[in-house]
Amino acid sequence: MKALLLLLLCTVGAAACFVLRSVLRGRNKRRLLRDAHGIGSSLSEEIGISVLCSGIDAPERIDALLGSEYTRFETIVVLDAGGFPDEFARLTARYRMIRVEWHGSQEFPTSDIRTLWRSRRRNCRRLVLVDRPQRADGSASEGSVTDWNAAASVAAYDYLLPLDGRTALLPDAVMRIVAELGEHPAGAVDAVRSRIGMPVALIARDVVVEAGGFGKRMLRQVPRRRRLVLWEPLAGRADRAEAAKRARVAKNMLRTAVIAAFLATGGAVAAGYWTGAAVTAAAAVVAGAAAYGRQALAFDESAFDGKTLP
Amino acid sequence: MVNPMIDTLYKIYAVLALATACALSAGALFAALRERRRRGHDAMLRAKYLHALMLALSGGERRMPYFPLFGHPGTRLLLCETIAGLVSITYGLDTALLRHAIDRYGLDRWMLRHVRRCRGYRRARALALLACLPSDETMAAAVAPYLRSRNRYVRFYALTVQLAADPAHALRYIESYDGPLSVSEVAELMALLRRGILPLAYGPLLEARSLKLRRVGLAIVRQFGIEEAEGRLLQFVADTSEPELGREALYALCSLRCSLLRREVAVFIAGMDLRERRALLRCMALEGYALNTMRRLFEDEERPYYETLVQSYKRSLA
Repeated sequence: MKALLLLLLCTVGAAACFVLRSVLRGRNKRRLLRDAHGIGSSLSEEIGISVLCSGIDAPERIDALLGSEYTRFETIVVLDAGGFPDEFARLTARYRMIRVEWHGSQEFPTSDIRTLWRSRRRNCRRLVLVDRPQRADGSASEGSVTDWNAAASVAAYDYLLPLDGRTALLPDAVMRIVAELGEHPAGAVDAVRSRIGMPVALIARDVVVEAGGFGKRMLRQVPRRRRLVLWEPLAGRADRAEAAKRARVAKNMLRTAVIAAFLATGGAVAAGYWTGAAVTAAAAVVAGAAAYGRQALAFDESAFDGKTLP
Repeated sequence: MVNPMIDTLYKIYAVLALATACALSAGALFAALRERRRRGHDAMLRAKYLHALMLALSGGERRMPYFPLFGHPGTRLLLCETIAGLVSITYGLDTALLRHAIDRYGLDRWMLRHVRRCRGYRRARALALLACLPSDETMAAAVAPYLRSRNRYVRFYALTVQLAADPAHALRYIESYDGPLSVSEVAELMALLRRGILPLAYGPLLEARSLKLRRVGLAIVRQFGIEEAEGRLLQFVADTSEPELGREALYALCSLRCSLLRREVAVFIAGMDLRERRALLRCMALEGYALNTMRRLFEDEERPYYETLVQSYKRSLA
C-alpha cells in the first residue's frame, strides 16, 4: 500500500513538472512567433479561418475580432433579429449592413436562417451577420451549437473556430493558430485546441461536416495524430472584471497553498512522519509548479491590457 | 525488510520534492520580478533606445547616439531587440549607423554568446534577433552548427541568419537546409524577400532540381502575382512525381486567376480525393471562378455542391 502511494506521489510530481515544462515551452514559442512577420502576411494565402460567434452582440467585441491582421479570416455573427431587435438594428446600422441572397448549404442542412447580411464598409467585408430565430425551449449550450451550425453553413473557409458569449479570443490567437497549422502539410491537422485558459478549439470543416454539425465531444472524433494541443491560452473570459477577480483569488489561493504545504512538510519532518511529509511535499511541488506556470503566463495575460477583447 | 527500504524511499522523495518545490517557488518569484522589470524599467529604456536610434537615422548623423544605462544587466538584449524590431519593420533603411552601433558595442558577438547559452525556442528567438541585426559573412559560418539542431525553429532561424548575413549564396543555403520547408517557413522567407534582404529571382528557383527551391519559387510567383510563370506551373501540375508541389502549383494558378480549363489541371483534379476537391472548390469559389469552369472540371455529382458555393459565396444583393 505504501509502495503504491509512493508511486502515485512520484507520478503526481512528474506530471506537474511535465505540465510546467510544456507551459514554459509554449510561452517561449509564442514569444518567438509574435515577432515572425511573415506568418501573418504570406501564410494568408494558404489557411483560412471562419470564426463562428454565438451570443456575441457587443460591437466592441466584433470590432476587436475584425481587427485581426490576418486576412484570410472572417467573422460570422449569429443573432436573432426577432428576439433582439435593438441589438440587431444597432449592428446593421454600425456596420452599414445590407441583406444578401442566401442559398441553403449542402454540407450543413439548416432551414432556420431567416436572412444573411454583409457589410458595405470596405474595412468590414470580413463580417457576416446571420439572422436566425432562437428557440426558447433549448438550453444555452444547445442554442450555441445550433448557432454555430447555422454560421458554419455560410462559412467560406476550411477551418472553423466556434466562440460563445463567455469566451474571448486573445489578441494574437488567430496568428498563433495559423502559425501552428502552417508547420504541418496542408490538410494534415484537423483540430487545434488549448489546454490552458478558456476552452476553445479550431476544427477542420470536413470533420464538422462528417459529424453532421457541431455537437458534444467533437474533438474525440478527431484521431490523435491529426490533433494539435497547445499548452498556452488562446482565449480568456469575456468579462474582464470577473476574470481579474478570479485571477486575484487564484493567485492568493496558490500563495497560501504553497506556504501551507511548506509548513505542513516542515511539521511532518519535525515529527518524523515521513509519509505525511512526502504527501505534503508533493502538494508543494504541484502548488509551486502552478504558481510558476501562472506567472509565466502573465506575459500572455498582459496582452489583454488596454485592449478590447474579441 | 521491506518497510525500512520504503521509509528510506519516502525520505528521499520528501527531500527531493521539497527541493523541487523550493526551486519552483524561487522560479515563480524570479519570473514575477522579471515581469515587473519588463513592464516598467525595460519598457521605458526600450522607448528611449528607439527614440535615440530613430533620431540618429532620420537626422543622417554619423555620431553614435547615447543609450542610457547601457552596460547594465539586460540592456544589451534590449538594444538588440530594439535594432531588430526597427530593421524588421522598415524597408530600404541605411544600415551603416546600425552596423556601426553593433560593431562598437559588440552586439553581434554578444548575441552569438547569448544564442549559445539559450536552449529550445529561446535559442530560436535569439537567432531570429540575430538575423535582423546587420552582419557580415562570418556570421553565416558562426551559426552553421545550429543547422543540425533537433528543434526545427532553431534550424530555420539559423538559416535566416545565414541568408541575411550572406545573401549572395542564398540558393546554396536553402538547398542544403536539412529537411523540408513548412508553409510557415516559406512565409518567413517571403518576408525576408519583401524586406529586400534576399536577392532571389523566381525563374532559377522554379527550374531548380531541389524541391525546397521550387517551393520558394512557387511562393514568389504567388506572392507577387507573376503570370509569366503560368506555363511552368502547369508543368508542375502535370508532374505526377511531386503531388504536393502540383497541389501548390494548382492553388497558385487559382490565386493568379489563370484559366484552369487545361488538360493537366483536369487530370490532376481527377486524382484528388473528395476532401481535397471540395477544398479546391471553395478556393475557386472565393477567387471568383465561374460555374462553367467548375462544370467542366468536376463531375456531375459535385454540381449541387459547387453551385451552392458560387451562389452563396458571391452573396449577390437580394
